[in-house]
Amino acid sequence: MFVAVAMDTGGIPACKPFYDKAGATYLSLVDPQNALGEAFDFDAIPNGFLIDEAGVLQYKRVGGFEVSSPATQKAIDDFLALPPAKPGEKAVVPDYDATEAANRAQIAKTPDDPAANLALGRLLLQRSDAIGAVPFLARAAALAPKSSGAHFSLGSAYLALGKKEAAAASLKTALRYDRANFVIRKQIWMIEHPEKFHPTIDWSWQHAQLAKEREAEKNDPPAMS
Amino acid sequence: MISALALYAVVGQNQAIEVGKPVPDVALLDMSGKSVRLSSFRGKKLILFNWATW
Repeated sequence: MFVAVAMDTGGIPACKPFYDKAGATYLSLVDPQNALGEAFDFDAIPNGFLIDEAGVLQYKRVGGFEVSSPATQKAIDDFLALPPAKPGEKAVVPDYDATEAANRAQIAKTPDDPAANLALGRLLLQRSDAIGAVPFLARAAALAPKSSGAHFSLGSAYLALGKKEAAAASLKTALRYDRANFVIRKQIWMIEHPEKFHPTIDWSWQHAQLAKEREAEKNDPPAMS
Repeated sequence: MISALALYAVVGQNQAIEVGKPVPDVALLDMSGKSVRLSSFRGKKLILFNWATW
């Protein structure tokens, strides 16, 4: 089964025209809160993930995944030729309620545990509870100020709540500690320069903007985390 | 409880998922706004293509 997931903070209105124009016959999804990016921890797109019947990852390509390339075709052919994995044989179904409870218990015991605050905030964000996620993500970002991931998640939560200025501020901090991350960089551009993305994408602006930002970043090296 | 703590450790460290490991059960949206979980594809071979309009 072929499933496409658009990583667009603009949600359905941003990507549906593209799916419609492409005449998509496959299942078309969108991930406006970067839940997939956080769970799979990728910093570039396009990506390909081949997942078997038991929910186990069999192949991944992060960045530069081209559906029509010979290498991709071979990976997909090999994947489809695998004998069916028996559901339940290898799969571990994550127990999110138990994970949430474990993280809440850990935070009750050690309120300043950055990992537990981040894990709980991300879990709530994945469950579309951005309001509930913000305090834990903000705490995680404060406890681990050089954690790009904590600031990125906090920015995603703010974005989900429509707080664009706060989102941009958090995402800029995230980018400062992970400058190779194009998912973060482009989210910032989409917040601050929406006219460069809709109704059409201004690629020459992106090239110029990237060159400008790279030049400025040369003189502003990030502190090592 | 052991499995919950094991998962907590993975989520807490935000490790990149690896080939041979189960994928997290992420919730996404279809074009009608309905939530679709990765776990709903269990039992099928899934080719997940991840892109953006930008």
